[in-house]
Amino acid sequence: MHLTDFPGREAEEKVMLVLHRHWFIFLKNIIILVLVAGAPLVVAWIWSHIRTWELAPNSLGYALVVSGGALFYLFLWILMYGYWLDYYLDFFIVTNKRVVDIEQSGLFGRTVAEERLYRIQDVTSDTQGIMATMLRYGNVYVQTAGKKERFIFEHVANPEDVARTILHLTDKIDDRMERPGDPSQFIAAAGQQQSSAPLSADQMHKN
Amino acid sequence: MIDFPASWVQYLVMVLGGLLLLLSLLYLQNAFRHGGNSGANILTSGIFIAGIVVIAWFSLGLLRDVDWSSTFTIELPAVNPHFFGS
Repeated sequence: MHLTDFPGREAEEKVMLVLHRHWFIFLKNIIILVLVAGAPLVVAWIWSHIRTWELAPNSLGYALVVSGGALFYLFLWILMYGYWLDYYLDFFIVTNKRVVDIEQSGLFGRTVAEERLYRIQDVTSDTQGIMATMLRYGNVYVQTAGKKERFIFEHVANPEDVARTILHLTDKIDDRMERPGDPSQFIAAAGQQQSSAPLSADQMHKN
Repeated sequence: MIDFPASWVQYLVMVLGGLLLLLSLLYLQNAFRHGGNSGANILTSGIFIAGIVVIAWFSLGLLRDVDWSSTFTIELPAVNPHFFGS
């Protein structure tokens, strides 16, 4: 499945934006992991200058150090890949009809939330912090009238442009009056079938 | 002084290593299930597998000199039998 081929995509639906979290968020986690990976090596190097120590190849200490170190670095490597997957498999899609928020949580959790554009009531964006301001990433908050009241697109690049794009798309939806159950559609349809009979009191009251 | 077979360490490492490899396989399966066959996905998964191979190759190479059929000994500190009184 291609990233933009999300579940339930309609045939005439056009993908306008595909957003991942900003690369700096992923890099932050990697830097922390690299520091954790380097810490034992630094400690061993410092210790070797304080005291001389040797491990005989056939000793328990040698076996524990080598096998423990291998397991430790294998675990860190898997953790790094897990961070990558968390970054890569979390994305937000904005189409000409709806917004979709796909979140991967761990190995066995995946949440797909979507909302139609005509249900969007408000879109705001914010940028907090020095790095966020310098690298131009932040959050986009999409307030909806649906079951999930608020979509949060976290740490996306150029959040103001994203918010503006979503608002522009919702304006186009409003202009085309595509909301089902919109009273104006019924009024227009009723006007085409207008009979010569006068309106009843109830009809006049409703108008 | 505690003596135990060196193979116990070997088995422990094999079990823990096997569990980590199983976790790796689950991550890979998850990646291709939800990420598809995109170029980035294939590249990063290839790098991930290569890293595992490198770690395994280095550690097995370093552990080649260990005689797993021997016995390891842990020296316990000497305990004074009269510490709590005679």
